[in-house]
Amino acid sequence: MIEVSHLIKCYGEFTAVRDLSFAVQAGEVMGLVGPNGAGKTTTLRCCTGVIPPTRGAVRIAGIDLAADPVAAKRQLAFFPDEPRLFEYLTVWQHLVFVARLYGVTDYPSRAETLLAELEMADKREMLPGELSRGMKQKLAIACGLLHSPRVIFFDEPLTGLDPAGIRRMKDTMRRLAREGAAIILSSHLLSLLEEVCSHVLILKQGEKIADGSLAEVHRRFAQQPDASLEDVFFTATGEDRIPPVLSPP
Amino acid sequence: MTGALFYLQAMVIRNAAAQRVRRLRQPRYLIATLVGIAYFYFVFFRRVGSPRTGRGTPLESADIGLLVGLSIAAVIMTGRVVYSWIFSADRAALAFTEAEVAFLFQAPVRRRVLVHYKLLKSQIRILFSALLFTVVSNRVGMLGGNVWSHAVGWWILLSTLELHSIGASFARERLLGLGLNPARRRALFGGGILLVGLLVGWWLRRSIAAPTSADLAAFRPIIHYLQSVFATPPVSWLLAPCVWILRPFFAPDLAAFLRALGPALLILAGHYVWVIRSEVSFEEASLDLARRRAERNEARRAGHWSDRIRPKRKRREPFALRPHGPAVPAFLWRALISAGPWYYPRNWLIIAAGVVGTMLWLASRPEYRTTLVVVQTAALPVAGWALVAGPMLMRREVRLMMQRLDVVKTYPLRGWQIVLGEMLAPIVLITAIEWLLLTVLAMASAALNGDYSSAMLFGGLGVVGVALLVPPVVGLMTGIPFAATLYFPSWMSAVGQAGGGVDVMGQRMIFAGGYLVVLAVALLPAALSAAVPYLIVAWLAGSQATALMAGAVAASLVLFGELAAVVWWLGRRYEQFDLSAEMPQA
Repeated sequence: MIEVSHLIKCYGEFTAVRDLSFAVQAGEVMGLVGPNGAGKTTTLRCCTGVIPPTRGAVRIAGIDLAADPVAAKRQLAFFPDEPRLFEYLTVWQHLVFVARLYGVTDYPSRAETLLAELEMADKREMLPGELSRGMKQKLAIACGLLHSPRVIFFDEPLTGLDPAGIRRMKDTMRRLAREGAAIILSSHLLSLLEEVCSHVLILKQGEKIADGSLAEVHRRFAQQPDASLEDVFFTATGEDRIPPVLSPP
Repeated sequence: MTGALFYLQAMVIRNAAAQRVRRLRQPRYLIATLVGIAYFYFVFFRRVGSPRTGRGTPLESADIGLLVGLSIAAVIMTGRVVYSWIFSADRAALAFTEAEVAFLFQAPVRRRVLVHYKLLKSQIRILFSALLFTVVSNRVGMLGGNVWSHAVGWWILLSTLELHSIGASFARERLLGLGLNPARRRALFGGGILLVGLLVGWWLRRSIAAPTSADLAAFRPIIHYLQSVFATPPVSWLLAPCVWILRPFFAPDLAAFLRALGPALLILAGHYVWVIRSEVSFEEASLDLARRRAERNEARRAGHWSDRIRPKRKRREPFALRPHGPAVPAFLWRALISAGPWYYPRNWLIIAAGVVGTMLWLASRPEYRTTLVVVQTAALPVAGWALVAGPMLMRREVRLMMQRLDVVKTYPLRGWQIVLGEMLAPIVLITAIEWLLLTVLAMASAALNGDYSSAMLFGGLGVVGVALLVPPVVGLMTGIPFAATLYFPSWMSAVGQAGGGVDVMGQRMIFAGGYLVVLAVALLPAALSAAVPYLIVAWLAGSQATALMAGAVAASLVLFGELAAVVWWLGRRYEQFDLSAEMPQA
């Protein structure tokens, strides 16, 4: 579903992503992790067509993103860390607008279903300014899912959510994967990745350090059998000098 | 503690200046700064040393014109003071930034020190304003004084107004604490001022005769009459405090300046003592003000210049948007909802029908001929202004698009569709305004011409010809800020930002110059292509109106072609646009 081969992205002299290749199949959730400046956001932006790669290819559901960006983008949805909404459009008007962009002819029933699932059915006439942070995030999700994307990208999806919102977001991601979507999830929250992801891709300074299922990456980098993904991450990125978290008093 | 606040302010100024100087290493800031300096020099400073302009000579003993000027300034100042007591915000809020609130309000700092800090900070703005105002006012010879008296005069005036504004807000807060709510306070003060006004009016009627037609016949008698009003108690008593504050500014020589300085400084010192000794809690209101200012600044950076940051109510849709069909109208649909119901097609048609009906009614009544002349005279400059200023709205639309680029870029649309979609709303709105103004102009011209039918025919043809040109011209003008943003994104973000600085001013000047040059280049082929059919038809048919129409059609076709090329070209640029590379901070 997502195939990235030899992706390189340069900003002038600086190379943000170096020769990155990976694939995510239908039903898989791949966690994209790395220290700050590792190239996670750049990778996500290249994969969603937001920015052009310097070299390499990205295929979304078998469609080359560079050759046919319109067809490829019909298959994907991208959820940035901050929901970007139109302040004068109501919840329902957002969905109407997105339906026209993606040509979703049966949008009323799909939108109703989505709003009900996201517990927003009573908010359809509200403006974004009247919604909480979590509700805005839900609206962004409803807009993104309206056209039934087969490939989904999340960038720090839990930012600003309350505990209930976090749980719902995790459930949403698991459900979408069960329904056959290929998902890439970029986050610093390693516990989230441990809970939700089937696969993980670790980046450092634009290079791939590890790529595979959670079990494979664990086998390769864990120094102890009960090592957490956090321990694995620090070992893989060479940051294992960082002392462990102190026990509570 | 005061030392820490001085240090804070000094470092803020030093670092801001250093940052601006460092920016000069980048050519765009250097060029913009040079243009900005040139602008300030030519507009403000070029004539500092040159002879003053303006009629009249400085005051010797009692130049009546000068005295009246002083009195009028005092009336304006009194009005400003009265306003601050009746209509200003209700709370005692000092303008701090959010960072200052976060660091200073919880620090072991006495309230008086915070007030001093605020006053010190406001002095930077006041000194700069006084400098600029002095440069301007010193050019006007009839105001009297010299550069120093003007500088000190402006400083005293602005400082006193600032202190009075703070003191009044403290007093309002105290009155609120005593149970005098804003509505009662307004009623009390408004009523009191009304009563004083009535008493003064009654007194004046007894003391001074009403102006005769001879008093109002020319400038000098009017000045004489006003002087007698201002010199008569109790008007002179009421204006006295403001006159004392203003007198150093108007002082004709050093001796008069020194004589005037004492009372002015005394009033300033009195205000200072009043503010410092006011034991009023301002923290809560200041905190709220800091938050609102931060929100407003954020909104302005986002391109919203209205103080209203968030819409409060749902807006109905301008037209039903079907889920299938071209995507471009969806952008128009969305933009019209943002613009508001005034711009919806149905409402616009109602407004247009009302305007046309009013014009027909005016045309049928000879007694309103003067009104028609005014309408005819005003329509053309208003149309010109809308044509130039309207496309500038595009800067805001493009900035908003840039903020959402992460999402907009994932739309399954070609670049040209996005570009055309974003440009469509300004084109439609400005075209609608222009067409309405052209209709008004044609109707007013026809009605004034007398021979209504032939005038309407000629005017109508002319209007239709111009109307054909409007959409592509507006489209091209709208494309210029769009292109500037896509090709020079970081430059355009600075042009659009709130706040100032010489370099920002320079960038705005460069953009305005570039805008005009690009527009001229775009219009040249259309003008040339219009000339040929115009000349041919005029020669063959001999009809000026038909020839104009032929020229307009040819020009319009060329302009539409240019617009299509521009949209395609911008679409290509949009598809290749890499925001991360252009603006790493984004």
